[in-house]
Amino acid sequence: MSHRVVITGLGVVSSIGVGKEAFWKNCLQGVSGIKPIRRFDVSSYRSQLGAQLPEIDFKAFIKPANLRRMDRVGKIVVSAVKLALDDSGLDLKNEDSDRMGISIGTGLGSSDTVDQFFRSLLKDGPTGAAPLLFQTAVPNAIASHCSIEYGIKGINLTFSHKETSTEMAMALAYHLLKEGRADIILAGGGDELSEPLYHVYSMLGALSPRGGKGLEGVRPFDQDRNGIVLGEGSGILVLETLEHAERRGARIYAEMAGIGLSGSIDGLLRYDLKGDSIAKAMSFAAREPQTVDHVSAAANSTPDLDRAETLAIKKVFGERAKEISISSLKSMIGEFDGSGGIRACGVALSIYHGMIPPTIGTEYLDPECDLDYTLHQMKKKEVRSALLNGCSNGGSNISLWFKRHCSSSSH
Amino acid sequence: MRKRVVITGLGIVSAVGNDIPEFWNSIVEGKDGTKEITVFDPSPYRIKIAAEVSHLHPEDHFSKKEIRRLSRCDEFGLVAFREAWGSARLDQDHIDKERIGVVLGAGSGGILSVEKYFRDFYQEAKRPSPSLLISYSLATTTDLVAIESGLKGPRTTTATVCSSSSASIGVAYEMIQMGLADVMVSGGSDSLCEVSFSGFSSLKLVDPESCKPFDKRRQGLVIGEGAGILILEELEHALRRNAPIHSELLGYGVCADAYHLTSPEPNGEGVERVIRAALDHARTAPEEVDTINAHGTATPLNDIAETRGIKRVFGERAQEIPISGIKSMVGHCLGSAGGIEAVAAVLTLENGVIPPTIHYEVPDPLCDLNYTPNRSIRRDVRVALSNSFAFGGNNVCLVFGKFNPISECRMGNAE
Repeated sequence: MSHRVVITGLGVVSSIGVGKEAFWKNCLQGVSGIKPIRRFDVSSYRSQLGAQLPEIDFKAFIKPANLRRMDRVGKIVVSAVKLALDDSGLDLKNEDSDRMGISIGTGLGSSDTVDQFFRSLLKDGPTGAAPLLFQTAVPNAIASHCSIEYGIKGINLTFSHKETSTEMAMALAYHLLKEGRADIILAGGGDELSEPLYHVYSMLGALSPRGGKGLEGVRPFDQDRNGIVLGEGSGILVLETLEHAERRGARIYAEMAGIGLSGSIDGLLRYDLKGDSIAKAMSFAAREPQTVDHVSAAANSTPDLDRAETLAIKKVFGERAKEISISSLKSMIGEFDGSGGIRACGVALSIYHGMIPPTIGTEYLDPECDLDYTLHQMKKKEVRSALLNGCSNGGSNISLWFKRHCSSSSH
Repeated sequence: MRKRVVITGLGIVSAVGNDIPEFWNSIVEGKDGTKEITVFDPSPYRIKIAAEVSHLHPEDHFSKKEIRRLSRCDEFGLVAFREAWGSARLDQDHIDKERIGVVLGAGSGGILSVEKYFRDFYQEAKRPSPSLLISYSLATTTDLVAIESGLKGPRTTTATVCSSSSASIGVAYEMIQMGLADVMVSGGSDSLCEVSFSGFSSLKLVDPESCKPFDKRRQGLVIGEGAGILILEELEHALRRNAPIHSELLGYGVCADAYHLTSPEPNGEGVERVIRAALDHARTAPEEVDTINAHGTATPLNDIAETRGIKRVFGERAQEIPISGIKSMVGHCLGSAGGIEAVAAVLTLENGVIPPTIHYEVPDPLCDLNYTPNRSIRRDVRVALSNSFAFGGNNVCLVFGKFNPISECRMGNAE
């Protein structure tokens, strides 16, 4: 027996708003989270920009006893979990903790904590190693913090696969709910923009302006796009079986109704250059392609991915491709492995409210990128169904399909 | 109706052997892989031993150019993968690589290379090679495996450290159920590094002498490294191409203690839940389980919690189930532990030999089950469990069965 899966809660901690309302308002207005980096010193780097979170009082979201044990990325994700749970109206006392699960994606997890730990080793030797740092440095510490904070005892998974980390976490959650292995799974994840992480991306030549050419910035699909600008944050969906949601009278944002997972083999740090794998993932996911009105793009202002994704959308939708409203939320929140959770919240809100957020930053479209990217201005548009894409450099390509949920009481 | 999934390829790199025959012979004979550490300078550490991989020469497997770019973790993963891939005979048939994917479990991934980079950067203020940073992401080994063999199916990396490469096997199973792949490469790879070694040492979880699971004198882990790779395949697909079938993956369970960041729930409640969830998913009764490949880290707390959990599930019968603590020989291989131990569980079923828990001399009254002390046991076994419990109580239990082509009643039509 196959269960239908719906979204009943959204939690967002982003550089353009903490909490669903603030995030969505700023998203529709095309507010950019990208600014000169303040949290650490970037004066020796060519790249200066990032989409950093505002200062957050995490005490508002997390119990003090647990807060003490968490590092910053843990606090960011657990706060998003709290926001999502509050938004869903769930009363955990009424729920069977064995039937609740967590599925988290994080690309680089506790990069800052690991770096601190390593530096203390270098400075003081093994006696300098701090156990309290180590225990929160492992990638699954985030999911553990969540399960301990909320007593969640069912499915517990952590994925770490570059820019498809949270997409895979949501895909598995969907599948397990469909199979009846849980009633509720909190799915999504996040990443923080730490100094060591920034250093690594810079040394690997990923940051705008790559090769020092052109202006630094995010401009998806632009002819002068020249690399990514990093961001940070967390997005969590409360995914629930339809029966469970209806039984408790939950508000349903949208239904999660399909997933596509595919791999490309163009090289270790290369995206799917021809877009065939991305196309396959979208085709698997979109069970009713003629209803797809919106695509939340993986495009991240890199020459390869923005072109490949455009090609893929054309391959899948043919003539209809031009009718689809595409948005790159990364134009506002930057690129980070764990961005998919926030972008999924955006898709749920697009479907629920019938509004498409804009792609900002783009000035002159690349002639090879000639679809409708909802440039500069949001669009009011009914969304019957939408796709969320995630594509990693290295070749994992994922597409998640969401559709409008019409309850029996509405049209 | 669920698809049946079988294991058609196995590959391994470990402290006791760099291929399946060497590994299996070693553990059946009770060989200890603990050695003095050479991967980094152990002199500042109180503990100087680990179950380090030895006599594996990268030049035998990779070109000079590849060696410059590959991390130690990548090397282990690729060597074990090549063995598994070769033994599964997947290259000899007209196999659709669009329907072959990869899910590997990671621990610290390429962190040894990253440590090299940052040591130079912070201490010597010199400019180390950025190519050392290619392995910064835990996705690297997974991508390398897929790219090497042109695998275009689903791809991801699980990251729950001590249970990571068990979780990867469960996720791989699900990808076959989703209908997105016929074959999935799973398991995982991990290497020694100073961060993990000193981290566990700082938590006082490491034994200075040897790993003695369930023994009263136990003081904790011996850190290990290596790779264990299993090729999972949908049964009909395997039968159609006459694939070698080692065992069947009947099911698995995943759950959380929700108790503490590093210590297990002491009464075995989390252990009980994950074993029950696995047996339930595998449609296997407790009475059918003949052997358990334990998590058996030899920490004072784990071994008690695991013993209690096993008793909660199996009751009186628990005494009759031989338990193997092979971390006594291969060490705690962190991100690759689940994969390596799953390989051992599959070989146990295939060969009818239960590997021992070595270094077992002084029984602990709180751990009073049969831990197959010091000598392996010859026994025809039908169902083997493999337990892996990670920091924070991320628990996984895998259920392997001797492959029986006629067992249709287990899967049945009733969903």
